[in-house]
Amino acid sequence: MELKPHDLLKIKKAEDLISYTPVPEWVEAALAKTPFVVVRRTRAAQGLVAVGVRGSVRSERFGAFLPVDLIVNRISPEQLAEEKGWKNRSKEIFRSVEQISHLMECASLQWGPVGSLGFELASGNETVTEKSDIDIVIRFSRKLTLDAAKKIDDTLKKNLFRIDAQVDTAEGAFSLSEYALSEEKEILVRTIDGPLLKKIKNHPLLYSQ
Amino acid sequence: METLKYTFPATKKISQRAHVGVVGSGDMEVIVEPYEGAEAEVTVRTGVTGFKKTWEAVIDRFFTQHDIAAKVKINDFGATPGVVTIRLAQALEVSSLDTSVKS
Repeated sequence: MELKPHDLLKIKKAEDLISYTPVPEWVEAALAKTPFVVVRRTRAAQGLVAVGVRGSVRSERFGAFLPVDLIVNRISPEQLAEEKGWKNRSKEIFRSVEQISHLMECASLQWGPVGSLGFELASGNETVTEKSDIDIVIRFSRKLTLDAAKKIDDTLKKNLFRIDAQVDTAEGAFSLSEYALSEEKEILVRTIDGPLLKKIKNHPLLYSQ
Repeated sequence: METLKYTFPATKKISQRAHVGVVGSGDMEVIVEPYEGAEAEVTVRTGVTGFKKTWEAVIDRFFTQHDIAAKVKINDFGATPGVVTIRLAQALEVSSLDTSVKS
């Protein structure tokens, strides 16, 4: 099982997490309510995966590690996109997700919802609010040329909700919007060893694996 | 929403305005403008409260290393200290640092 940042992992209990810093009080309650953690883009020791716990407010985020063999279930953003779990939900935001889904299918891009939206779709617990952004990840491929990125970025910017699209590559992730407007200048790439500035060209070596 | 302000003495001029970064989770946008005074005026607007000390440390380190005379506006959306430093470096590069202020 190959884990990628943004994958949601179901766990059995809060005690399965390993932390080298004090665990905030809200963590146990949050996991009792929704036993899911998200894979972080950070290195972890052999047999462990770096994960994040999401609390009820934005300042409640906690990084820890999880032994890989204690994962109960793994849900990738692509799985959520394929399941289209937003179809039977009434909130306005889910209509925007349907539009994005259509756009990605037309562009032949692999994608999926992440952030609070992905969390809600995976866990079934209400997380998104009317103020939520729509966070999505798009896998870098031959189809995502600079021109295609510009067109998609333009379309996404017209949406009723603010859409934050990250492009995942073999070496890290960058913002679709920044790539679209980069004119081949350096952009910020988040790698497993931290953020750096880099020129991005559409090249097979960078395609998401 | 929290607004933090910092001022640092500065000796170097920048040649142009720069606007870099992204409005998005875990990121920030930064606008750097040349300033006639001999200081850097930094304003941070952030929706994530409770990180005043971290901001102070990151901003202090950057503007002690790069003493540019500028007005700097940061709109933060939960950037990590690493991202903050990279975005500031990127803004500095775009605003293309030139020679010291003539005395």
